[in-house]
Amino acid sequence: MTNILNLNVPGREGEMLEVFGFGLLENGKQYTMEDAEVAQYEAITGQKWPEGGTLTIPTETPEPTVVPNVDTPVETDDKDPAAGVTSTEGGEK
Amino acid sequence: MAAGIGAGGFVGFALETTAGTYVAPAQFWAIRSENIQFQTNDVFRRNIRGIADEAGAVAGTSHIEGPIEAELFADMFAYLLYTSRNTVVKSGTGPYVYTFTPGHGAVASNKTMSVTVVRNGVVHGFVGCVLGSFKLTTDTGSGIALASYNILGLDEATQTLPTLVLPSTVPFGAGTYSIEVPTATQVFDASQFELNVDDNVNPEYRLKSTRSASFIKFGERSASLMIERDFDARTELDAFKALTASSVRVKLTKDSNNIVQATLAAAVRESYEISGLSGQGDIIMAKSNWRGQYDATTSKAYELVVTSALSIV
Repeated sequence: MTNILNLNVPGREGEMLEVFGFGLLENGKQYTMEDAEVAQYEAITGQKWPEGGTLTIPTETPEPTVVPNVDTPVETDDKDPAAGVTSTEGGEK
Repeated sequence: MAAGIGAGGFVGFALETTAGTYVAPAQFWAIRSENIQFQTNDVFRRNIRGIADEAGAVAGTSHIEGPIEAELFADMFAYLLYTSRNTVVKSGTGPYVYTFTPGHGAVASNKTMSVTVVRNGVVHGFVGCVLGSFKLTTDTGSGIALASYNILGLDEATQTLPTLVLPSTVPFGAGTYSIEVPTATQVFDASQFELNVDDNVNPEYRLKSTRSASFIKFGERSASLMIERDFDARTELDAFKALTASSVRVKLTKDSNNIVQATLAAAVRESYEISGLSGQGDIIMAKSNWRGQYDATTSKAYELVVTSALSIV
């Protein structure tokens, strides 16, 4: 599989950019990377090269993550009504 | 996970299409520090019910807040100003000239942004962020120009780790300054300046199905400029005593692609502090603290003009 790097940072057409793991590259160009370069990139950045073989920079915006409802109150003092306990807090034994 | 240090981290920025909807970073700049935090108004319940302890927690409203400190880069400054309460006019075909004029509304004039912070490999995606206040100054001694940005936002979530891409932008250093009092009259005896613009932003919460802030409100604005100069005449002192208004400008020029200019059109000295006879070897200096007043002639209290090779929006 051919490893492709697409460098397309908006607003910086033709600029030389320092791409972490690859050094200076010209923005707007497409590069074919050797397997050794990909391995070096993965080692330096700790990121896996995309399975499709093409790394696009900047990273594409991921699909929105489903965030669980964080408004649920954390209740720690409620007693189970089914247990029939009315109140035991604070009472002197 | 192994311990990590700050050097391995980085920060990226992207202007948002919809306020609060994350966009992966398109621009990165080197920073000196950041401390952006997810802040909450949680309630730790303390009711009167026969016990002396807290009785649980209820999630409260939340927002994002914290500073980013960096060397002053023209492109970074212009990019972040897009999320402030300024209207922007972009001109030129490269380099681009961005003229920022203060607005007066309750919300950011143009865009919000996503700020992605990577700390020890952990990715924070801060969304709905705006520039609430900023400070430009110079490091006495070295002369390098520095910027502090105060960021407020709506929410935080984990995101995909981006690839760091840094521009070759070089910060402003010694030999790039023009201090003008009044505008167009350069003075050569200034040793320090500090420009502050504060829009007094605050998170606004509304009753809804999530706890995050609904928007960031812009409030009363204050623009000020401190300039420290050699004290050798009483002209400035007399102007301070008379509340004489004047234009004042700080302009930094690195090259044709990197220019930052801040102008207070009608500033009044709030204070004028002469250092006094503090020691045999001490130079006698004076600090003028200017407050930017709304100038009816130009219809603004201040103006920022930034020239950069970066094309924003």
